[in-house]
Amino acid sequence: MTKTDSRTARPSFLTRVGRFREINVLVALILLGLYFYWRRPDIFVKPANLAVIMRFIATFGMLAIGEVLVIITRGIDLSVGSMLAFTGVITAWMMLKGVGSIPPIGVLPAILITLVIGTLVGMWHGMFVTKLKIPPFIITLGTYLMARGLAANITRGYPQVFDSGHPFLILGQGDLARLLGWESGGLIGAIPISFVILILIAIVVHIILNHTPLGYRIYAVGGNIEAARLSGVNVDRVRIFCYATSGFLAALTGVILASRLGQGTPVVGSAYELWAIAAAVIGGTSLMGGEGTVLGAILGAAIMGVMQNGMVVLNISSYIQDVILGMVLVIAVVYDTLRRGGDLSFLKHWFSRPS
Amino acid sequence: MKEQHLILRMEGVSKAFPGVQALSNVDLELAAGEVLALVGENGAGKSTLMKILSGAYHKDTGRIFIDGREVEIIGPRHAQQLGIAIIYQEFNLAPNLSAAANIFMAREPRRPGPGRLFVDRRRMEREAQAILDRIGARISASTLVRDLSVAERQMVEIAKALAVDARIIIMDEPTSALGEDEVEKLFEVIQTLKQQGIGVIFITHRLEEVFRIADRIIVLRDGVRVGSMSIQEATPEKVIRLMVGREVGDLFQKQKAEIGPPLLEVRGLTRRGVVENVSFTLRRGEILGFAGLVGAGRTETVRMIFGADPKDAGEIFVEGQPVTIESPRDALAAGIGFVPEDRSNHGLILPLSVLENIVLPSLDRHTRLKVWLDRMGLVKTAQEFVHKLNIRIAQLQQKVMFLSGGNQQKTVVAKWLALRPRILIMDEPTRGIDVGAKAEIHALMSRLAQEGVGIIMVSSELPEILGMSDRILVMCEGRVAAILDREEATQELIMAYASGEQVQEAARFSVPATS
Repeated sequence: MTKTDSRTARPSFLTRVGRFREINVLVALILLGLYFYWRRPDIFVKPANLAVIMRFIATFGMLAIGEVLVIITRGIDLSVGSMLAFTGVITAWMMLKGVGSIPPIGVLPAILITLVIGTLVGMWHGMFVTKLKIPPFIITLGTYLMARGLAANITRGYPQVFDSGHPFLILGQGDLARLLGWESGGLIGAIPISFVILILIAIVVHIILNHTPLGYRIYAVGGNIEAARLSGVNVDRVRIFCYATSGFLAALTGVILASRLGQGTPVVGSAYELWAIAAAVIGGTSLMGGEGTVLGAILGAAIMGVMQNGMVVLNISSYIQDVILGMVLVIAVVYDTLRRGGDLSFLKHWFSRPS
Repeated sequence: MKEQHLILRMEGVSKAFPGVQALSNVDLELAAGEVLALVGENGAGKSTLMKILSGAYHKDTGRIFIDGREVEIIGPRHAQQLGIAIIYQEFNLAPNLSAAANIFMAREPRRPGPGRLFVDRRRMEREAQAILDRIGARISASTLVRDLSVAERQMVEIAKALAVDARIIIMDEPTSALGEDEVEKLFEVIQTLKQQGIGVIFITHRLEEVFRIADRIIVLRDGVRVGSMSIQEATPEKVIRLMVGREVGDLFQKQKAEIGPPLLEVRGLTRRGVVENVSFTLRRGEILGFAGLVGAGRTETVRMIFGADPKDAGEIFVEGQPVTIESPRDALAAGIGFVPEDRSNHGLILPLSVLENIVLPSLDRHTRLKVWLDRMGLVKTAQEFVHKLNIRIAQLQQKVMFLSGGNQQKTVVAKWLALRPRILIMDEPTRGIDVGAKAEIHALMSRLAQEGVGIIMVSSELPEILGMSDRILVMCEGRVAAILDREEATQELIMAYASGEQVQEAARFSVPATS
C-alpha cells in the first residue's frame, strides 16, 4: 500500500483545508474588526454601532444564503433586490390600504401572504430554469425588471408610510431588549431582531444542507448534474427548491426592510442582488457550482458590513468605499482560486515579453 | 504501388500513455492518389496514429517522411502547413457561418488596397464555390452550415482541407453518420480526390466499405501493425482474423452461477435512427455481454433501459411485471443499477467525497423520519462497500477526483451495490483501469452473479466479453445482429456479426444456430 498511500495522503490534507475554508474568511473578519477598533475605539464597538453592522449583516446575509443555494446548483438569482422592493410594497399595501375592496388585514397574515408570494416567484424561476431550460440569468433578470416596475405601479411611485408606533415596525427596528422588555440590555440587548431571525434561518438552512438528503442532493446537482440525474436524483425538484428558498428569503428580507424603514417603497434594495452575490463569493461560494456554505455566506456579508461601517466611521468618502469593496471582492476571489490550485503563471507571461 | 510517388512514410512510430503502449513500432506508407484503409478493433491504435500524423499527439519514437523529406510535426498548424488534413467524426464547423466562411476560416481573403481591414466576401464565396464544385459537392457556398445535412457538412470539411492545399486527407469514420446514398456521394468525392493525386487515409469499421473504396489495407491490433495488403490480396475473413487475433489469455473467467428465471425482459426497444427493435431476456445470475463496434447502439440501448434517455417504443418487464421507466429514478425503483461508460462525467460527482458519491442513490434508506440523515448509517454503508470492493483510500472524506481510475470505477460500482440492485447494467466496466483493478471488478461481477444479480455488460474488448458472458448479444447498426451462447461464440464470429458481414449458417463453425 506504499504507493497508493502517498497518492491518497495529499488530497486528504487538501480536503481538510478545504473543509475549513471559512476560517480564512473568519480570520480576515477578525483582523478587519481589530483594525477599525484600533483606529476608532470610541465609536466602533459601541452597542449602537454594532447594531448597525448587525442590521447590515441581517439584510445581506439572508439574501446571500439564498444566493448560495442557487449558486451551488450553478444558477444565479438577479431578482432579489427588486423582490425586496416588491414584497416590501405589497406587505405595506395589504396592511395599510387593503387590496381592492378587501379591507386592510393584520400584520401576521400580511407577512405570511408576502412570504408565500416570494416563494411562488422563486418556484416560478425554478420552473423556467428546469422545465424550459431558460438560463437563470435571463429569467431572474426578467423578474428584476418586472418586480420593481410592479412595486412602483402599485404605489404610483410614492412610499407607503407606516405611522410611528405601528406594531409592524418592531420587526425591523426592535432589538432584543425591546422584545424581552429589558430596561437596558447592553450589548446583548442591542442585538436587532432581524439579526436573530438571520441566525435562525441560517441554522435551518445549514441543517438542510448538511443533515438531510436534500442537502446532499443540492451539492450533487451542483457538482455534476448529469451524474446526479443518473443516480436517481430528482434534479428538477432540487433546483426548484433552491430558487424557491431564494425567493422566500428575498420576501422575508423585504418585509424586514419595510419595517425598518417604516415604509414600503419601490426604490429600496437597488443592486442588493449584486451585493448578496458578492457576499456569497467572498464567503467561498464558487460560481462554478458545487461549493458554498451558509456560514461562508454570513461571514461574507459580515466582512462587507464591517468594512462598510468601518469606512463610514473613519470618514472615508463613499465613492472610495465602493472602490475598496470592489477590490476586496476581487482579492477574495483570486485568493480562493489560488488556494484551490489555480495558476498565476499567466501573469509571468504578461510581464516577461521583451520581444 | 512501388512505381507510384510515396507522399507519406511513417517508420517505427511508437507512443505510450500511462499504463498503455498505444503504438509500437508502426510503419505506414501512402502513395499519391491512393486510398488506404486503416482497420482494427476499438482501441487498436488507429486514432492515436492519426493524431500523431495530424499533430495532436507527439510520437515517442519513429520517423515521418513527407515527399521523402523527414519532418518533425510539432502541432496541428504545422501538420496543416505540411498538407495534412484530418476530418474527425465530430466536425469542427461553426454552424452559424456560411460554408464559404467555414472553408476560409481564419484565412478570409481581404479586399485590395486600403480595404484590407475588410473581408472580400464575394471573392471568398467565389473561391469556396470553386472548391466545392471541384469535389462535385452540390452545395451553394453561401448556405449556412446549420442548414446543411451531415453529408454536406462533411463535404464542407473536405473542401476546407483542400482550401489549405492538403495532399493527405485523413477521414476518421466518415460514413458512420451517413445514410446509404450519402455514402455513395462521399465515395464519388473520394474518387475525385484520388484522380487529383491526393492520398486518403480512411478509418472505418465497416469492412464492406473497405472493399469498395480502398486500394490497400493496413490492419492494427493492440498498437502493432499486423498486416498490410493490397485490396486484391485481401478477403473479409483474412482481415477479421488479423483484427481479432488476440489471445483470451489469463483474463478472469466467470465462475459458474446458477442461471435462474427471467429477470429483465426487453421487447422492441426503439429510438428512431439509433436503436431499432432490440429485444432480449436477462436471467437471474446471468451475465449478458453486449458486443459490437463503436456506434452500434449498445450504450444507447442500455441508457434507454435505465431511463437516462427517452425511447420511442419498447416494453420492459422486470420479473414478469411490466414496468414504466421514464427516468433513472424509475429504474432505481425497479431495482436496476447503471455503471455508465463515462466515469468522470456520468458516473461520479468529482468534487464530492467518496462517502457522498457512494451514498447518493441510497440516501433515502438512511434517514430518520424521511428528513434527517443518519450520518453513522451513511458512514457504515460507505465503509462496508469500500471494504468489500477494496477501494484504496485514506479516508471516506477524500474527493473522488484524486483517486486512480480503478478506484474511481470501484466507487461507481459501490454506489450501486449499496442499493442492492437486482439488475446491474455496466457499460465498459473496465475501460481505462489497470490490470489489477480489472481483475477485481471481474471477480466482483462473478460473485454478484452467483448471488443472483443479473448483469448486462457492454464491452468493446472481445476477450472480456468471451471470458465473462454467459450469452453474448451482438449489435450492429442499432439492431441485434445475433445472440450467441458462450460455447459457440468466437472472436471471429462476433466480429463478423458486428461488422455486418452476412454470416452463413455454415460459417458458424458447424454449431447449430440457436439465436
